[in-house]
Amino acid sequence: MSQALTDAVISGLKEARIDFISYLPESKLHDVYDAVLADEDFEVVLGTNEGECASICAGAWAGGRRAALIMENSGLRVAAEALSRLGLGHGLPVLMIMPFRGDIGDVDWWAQPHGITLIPFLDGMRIPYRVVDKVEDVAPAITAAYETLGASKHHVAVILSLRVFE
Amino acid sequence: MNRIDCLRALAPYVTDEDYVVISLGGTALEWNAVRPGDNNLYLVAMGSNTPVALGLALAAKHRRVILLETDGALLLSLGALATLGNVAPPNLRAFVFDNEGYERVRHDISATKGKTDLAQVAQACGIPQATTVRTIEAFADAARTTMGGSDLSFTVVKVEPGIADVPGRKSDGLEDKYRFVRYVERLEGVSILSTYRARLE
Repeated sequence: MSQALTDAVISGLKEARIDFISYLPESKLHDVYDAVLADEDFEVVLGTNEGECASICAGAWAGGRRAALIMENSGLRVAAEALSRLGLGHGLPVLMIMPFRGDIGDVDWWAQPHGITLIPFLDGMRIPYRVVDKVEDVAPAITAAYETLGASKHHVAVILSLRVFE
Repeated sequence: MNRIDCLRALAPYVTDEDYVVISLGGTALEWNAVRPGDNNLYLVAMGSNTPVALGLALAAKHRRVILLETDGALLLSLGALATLGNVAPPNLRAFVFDNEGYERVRHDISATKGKTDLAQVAQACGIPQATTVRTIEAFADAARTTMGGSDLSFTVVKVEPGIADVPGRKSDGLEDKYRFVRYVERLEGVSILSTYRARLE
């Protein structure tokens, strides 16, 4: 993972004034996890599954924090129940940032289910998303996503294409 | 021990400056009857109550957050106890009303009717003060002690099945959210529901 991409994610989080992050680690964004954990501008909570992390973010949002969930895209499936209940049922929104594992060109067989199910799951939960292909588009996508979250009171996803990791 | 008697014993310790996160079913109906208020965040999201309360407690470190959790909902996300134990927000007071079943759907067996002991699970997750109470006297003592304390608390409250004869709730999840978050905005003097650009201005 390039330093430029790490910087872009951190820059986007700060431009969106995100100050609270819940996460589960995965391999593509490991440098981002290190960066947010080392940055005192962020309060960071490691959860045990992505549904729990989404719920932590929703609670933080209800209390006035600007929160983001960073996870592998497989976590969307784990979090589907919490996201559906909290988003569609209560209007408690969560910003999600995730890599597009299983994207075209992903060499890992185990990542293929993540790629196959990602967009149908997002569509099924009516979650708007932006797939980002260029590092320079990462920060603007994060800030735009939080604007949409604020206007819609619903979840929004920023998906980092494998191209941004090249 | 009936749940509503416990809620009545707890209510005097809850102020308008506390935030209360409430699980679904009879717990929500009874708490709404005992202590209605816009500082109540009602959730119909089994598995999310404890982590939502944790996020809220971290967002509002200067407030007490009281969690009225239930055994079935907590069992759906036991991992949340591991996070709760590690984060240990000192302003969170958790009460788990454990009727050992899924009452709302008329099924009277949950894992806690078997061998599962939620207080022991919580202790093993790093909440050594977790305890179980089985009488109204013990609950009243736990409520007084924990609400007057300054640490994370986790109290499993063994209650009989049954829902008190209280009025139903007419609001849905969205209305509950708006009422609660508007209350937070007023109490904290912050803007949460306005759009991003408006919040920057």
